[in-house]
Amino acid sequence: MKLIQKTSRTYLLLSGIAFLISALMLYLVLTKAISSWLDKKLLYSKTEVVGKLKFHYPLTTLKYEDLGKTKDLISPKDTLIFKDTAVYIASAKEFDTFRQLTAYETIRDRQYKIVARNSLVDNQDFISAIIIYIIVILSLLLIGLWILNTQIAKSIWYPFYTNLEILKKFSIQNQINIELVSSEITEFEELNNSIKNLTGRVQSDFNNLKEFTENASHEMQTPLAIMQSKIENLLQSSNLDQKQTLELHSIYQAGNRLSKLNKALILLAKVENQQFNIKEVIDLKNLIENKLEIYEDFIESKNITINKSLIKDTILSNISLVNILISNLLSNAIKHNFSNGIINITYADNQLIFSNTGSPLKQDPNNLFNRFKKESTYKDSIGLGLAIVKKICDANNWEVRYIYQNQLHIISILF
Amino acid sequence: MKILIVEDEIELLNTIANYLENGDHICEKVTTLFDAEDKLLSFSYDIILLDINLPDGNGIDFLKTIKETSPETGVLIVSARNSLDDKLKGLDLGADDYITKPFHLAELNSRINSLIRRKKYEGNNTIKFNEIEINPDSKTVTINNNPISLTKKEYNLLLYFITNANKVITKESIAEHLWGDDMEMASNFDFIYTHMVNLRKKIKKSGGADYFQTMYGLGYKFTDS
Repeated sequence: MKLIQKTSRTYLLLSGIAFLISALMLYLVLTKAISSWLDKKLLYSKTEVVGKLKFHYPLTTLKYEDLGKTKDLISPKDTLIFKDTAVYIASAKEFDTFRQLTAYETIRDRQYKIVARNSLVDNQDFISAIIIYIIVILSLLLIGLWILNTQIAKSIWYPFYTNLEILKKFSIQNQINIELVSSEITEFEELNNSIKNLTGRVQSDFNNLKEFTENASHEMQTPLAIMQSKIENLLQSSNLDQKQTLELHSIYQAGNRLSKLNKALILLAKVENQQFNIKEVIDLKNLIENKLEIYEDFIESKNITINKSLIKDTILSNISLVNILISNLLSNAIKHNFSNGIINITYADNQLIFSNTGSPLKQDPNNLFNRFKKESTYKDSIGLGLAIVKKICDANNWEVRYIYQNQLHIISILF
Repeated sequence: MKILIVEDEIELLNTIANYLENGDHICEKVTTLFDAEDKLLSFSYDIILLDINLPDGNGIDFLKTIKETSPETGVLIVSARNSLDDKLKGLDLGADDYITKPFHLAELNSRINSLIRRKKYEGNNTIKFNEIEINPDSKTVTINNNPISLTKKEYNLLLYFITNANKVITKESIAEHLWGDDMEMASNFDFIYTHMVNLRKKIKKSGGADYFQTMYGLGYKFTDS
């Protein structure tokens, strides 16, 4: 829920409740005021009737009932009873509500029951009119405030939302300083400054890291190159005995291993830093078939059966990364396979699935894509293959999953 | 062939020069861009081996100068920076090939020779080793003028050995040459052995001599001595 919606909703709810309560109170107060005013009017009418009765004034327009002598008093003297009552009106053929005063009055030893009524219909209409009028005014006010609020919010939040879009599009690799829309609001301006500082720092950190990666690669690979070429040169000399040759070869192998490891770590760092951003259309079917040809020797040596079902479809990505991805998946499926095993490769519906026979994992499958989580005792495996696969998938926003099902290790990638 | 090596690591520079000089190349060694520019003004080279990271500047800039002053010179970039940017930039600006440190000397030599063939003879020369003749353009091999049929890997293997004749070639270097970046798979080297056996059989069958010497545990040497 957006902030504007959230605040407006709370605001509206509160106003609605206050509005209802005030309307109710208004109704009660008005009703109370009107009935007390009516009661006064009825008392006045009663007094008038009593006065007229006292002086034998002719009561032509008023009805009254002579209840007889004082001694037959049925009610205490001067009783006043106010009540609301419904009376049938013959002319309108309906009941109407009336405020009624029944008074028992003793005039010259005779008791009279005086009933005065006043219609409440008009008064109720009056109250309704007032309430409707107030409802209309309040509703207009609410709608007006709502519109005003939304409009103001829009203009106030405009820089915020624009900057949010800018931030979403921000990429650390572009090396472009972030340009934010400025705002009059102090809080937003502070936020903008913080974001500018933060992105600046992140960018400089990223550059430092990139520089470090390149420097590390250079600094480590040059000594390695010297080491390797020196040993290769030494190996050319004919006056080495067999033991010396073998020991030199061991050093040479260790150097090779170190350089492979270094290369893989640098690759991981580079993928993490999203340094492979040149994308092109890649024919995955073609690429996989080429890889199978390169790996032919290894596949044949283990007598592995390859079942492939690949559709002719393309993906948009970095060719070097996809090459490494397929190599790693394929070499993983070969390395951890049985002799006479099976590898199934399926590519359809934007999903690439590699499944292969092999002994079940001894370790937690959740660690499979972590660095240096070597499963096999395969001596030259450096344990970075699947970590690189994971990183490549992450960099491309592809989903990679591993499951073990029907004695098959299944790695699927959803492009 | 005349080769100019621009490399700031003197140890590496000497080792490379030493290896290449044994293979009938004449090498000039410089350690800075300044010296390299100086040499380029006075002499002409068939190949320049160019390190990108140099103490007095970036090799990529020097590449432009080379292409302006002597466009016929082949340039092989040597770098520890295998970052894609440099690779693309280097090839865009006219570098002919790119090799990443650390590399096998045999591999470097093979790349240089292939570059010379492309540059100097536009691929129209043949490589001869006694009765064996390779035509790199058509990728065919003849022994005593009789063509023999080799698989792609056997052909690459033979070419690699002949280019690096009389040198000990390690199995690691062969694996890397045949399988490139995918060579991690080839670490038990039985595969090389299989290809070697087949290649030797085919050469023998066609009347060629067996020039391959097995260096115990280490690799092979292709030699007629």
